[in-house]
Amino acid sequence: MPKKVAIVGISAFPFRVRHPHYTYYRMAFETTKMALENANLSINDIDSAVYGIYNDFFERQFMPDIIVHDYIGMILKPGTRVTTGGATGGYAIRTAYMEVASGLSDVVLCLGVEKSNDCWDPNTDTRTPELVKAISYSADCEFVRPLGSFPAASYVLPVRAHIEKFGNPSEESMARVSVKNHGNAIGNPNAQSPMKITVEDVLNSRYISEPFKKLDCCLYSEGAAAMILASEEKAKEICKNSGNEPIWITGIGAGNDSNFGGLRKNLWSLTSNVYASKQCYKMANIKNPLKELDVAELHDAFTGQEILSYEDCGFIEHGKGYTLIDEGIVEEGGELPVNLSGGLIGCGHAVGATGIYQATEIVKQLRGESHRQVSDAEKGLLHSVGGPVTAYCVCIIMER
Amino acid sequence: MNNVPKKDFKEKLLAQIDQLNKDPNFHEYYDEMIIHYKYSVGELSKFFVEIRDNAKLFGTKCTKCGFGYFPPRLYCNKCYTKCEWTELSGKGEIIAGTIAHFGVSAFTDKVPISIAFIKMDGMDMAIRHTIVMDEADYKIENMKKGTRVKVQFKPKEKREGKITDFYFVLDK
Repeated sequence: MPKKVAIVGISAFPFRVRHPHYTYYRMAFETTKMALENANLSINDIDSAVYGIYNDFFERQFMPDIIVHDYIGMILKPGTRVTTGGATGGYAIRTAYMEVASGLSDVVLCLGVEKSNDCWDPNTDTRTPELVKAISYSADCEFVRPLGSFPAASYVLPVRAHIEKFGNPSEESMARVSVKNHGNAIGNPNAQSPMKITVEDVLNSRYISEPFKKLDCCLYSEGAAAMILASEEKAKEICKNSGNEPIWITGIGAGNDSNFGGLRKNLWSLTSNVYASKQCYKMANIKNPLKELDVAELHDAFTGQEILSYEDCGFIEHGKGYTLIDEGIVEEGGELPVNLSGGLIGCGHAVGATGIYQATEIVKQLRGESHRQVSDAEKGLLHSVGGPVTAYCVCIIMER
Repeated sequence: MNNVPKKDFKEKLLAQIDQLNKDPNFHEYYDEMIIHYKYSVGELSKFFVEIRDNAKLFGTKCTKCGFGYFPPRLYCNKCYTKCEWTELSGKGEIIAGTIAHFGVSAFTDKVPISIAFIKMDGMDMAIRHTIVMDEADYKIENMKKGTRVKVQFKPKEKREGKITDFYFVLDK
């Protein structure tokens, strides 16, 4: 039996287009410092660390974790880096959980950091094309990368397959997700793109990869987030000192689909998400996620992907995901609010930090500290996805 | 303030960058990460040599369950049995496709491009590749599931034994 694991400290370094006055290791330091303050601990209390840092090209550094490890004062303690695309955060939490649940460590720092916008394309004198080039090396370099695909063109294909099978989601439904998530980010000091926009604004923005438009896509960010995980005995002691309620990790599921989307049975479903969510619901004994969950943070790199995730995370049957946004069920005040933080679309996507950041938002909800507080929230879902055509997936249930 | 970026957004951003560059506590320098390769493609050599020398596409089929792999692979990941090479007709159909209006650097001036999962006749796995079309044909309507496509090879002198040696066109 795994030992019980609690989250006892959280922090986030604001997600912004750039943090030109910060190195990634200083961002990691500031975030660690804030997490330690949140848990009322010192770095000496940490037994081991797990780092979520996705892309070596972003940091312009291979093994950036050992530089962070030194900088934050973890010398002579174990440290492990996780890098699984957009799901880096989710997998980092899973790894940190395992360190505590196994009894190897009592207190673990789980830190995600990413500084992506130092990439720069000399031909256009802009940053994003070079940034997505850095990402494109994550695609199969034999068969996929040389053809010039990029995340929006990759993640849109399941949505296109879904549209052809079920006739939805419509561009309007996807636009509603954009309006919701940009709107939810208003009031969140860590969010990069808080915006009050209309469905028309989204529909009028230019196509990036049809049917995704500019406002259907998240933006790349620089930022960091951290969580401190502890065993039951330690958690009780730490929380007594800090005054925070411990938040328990009660379910974890993970699964990776084929790297080649073309090898999957159904392209219209993100099968790894189905697998991971079922696993975490089983562990947390959740039968009806839509009814039992109070809040969820889904990986909404693209609006259409959020709608497919409603289905794949078991909120509703396949082909009906769009009704949850059209009928306001996933809006603030709805039956299951999704991405009250703003999600990736509202907050930005600091890849290695994103999953951990979204998990801290669930913790805030369960502690009662959110800028859009769901009253009496008891159970929350984190959904962390990444890799070629959503190959990686981790789902985590957190409870008060 | 918290609104859709207005027209002057870029100007404001440029002004900010200007300001940054005057800041004595701010410095950035040009850098790059480049590694050159002579990359051996091992058991996939036949696939790339056939493309380069004979303008032929080969997939593989599991000798036990018959599953067709394209891109090819030597072992079936279900049966753990060896696959054998099989020549393809060069025709197939779209499983799902998109028209992209943005690209990674080195592709930014080539948009729009069409990207699709294409299942070749006789194969069970789809490949992600590009479909080259007349400018007027770059429409999402032309990327419907089931749309027939066929392979087109670059002229022999331009072929390097790479995945970019061929592309697809609509099989009208």
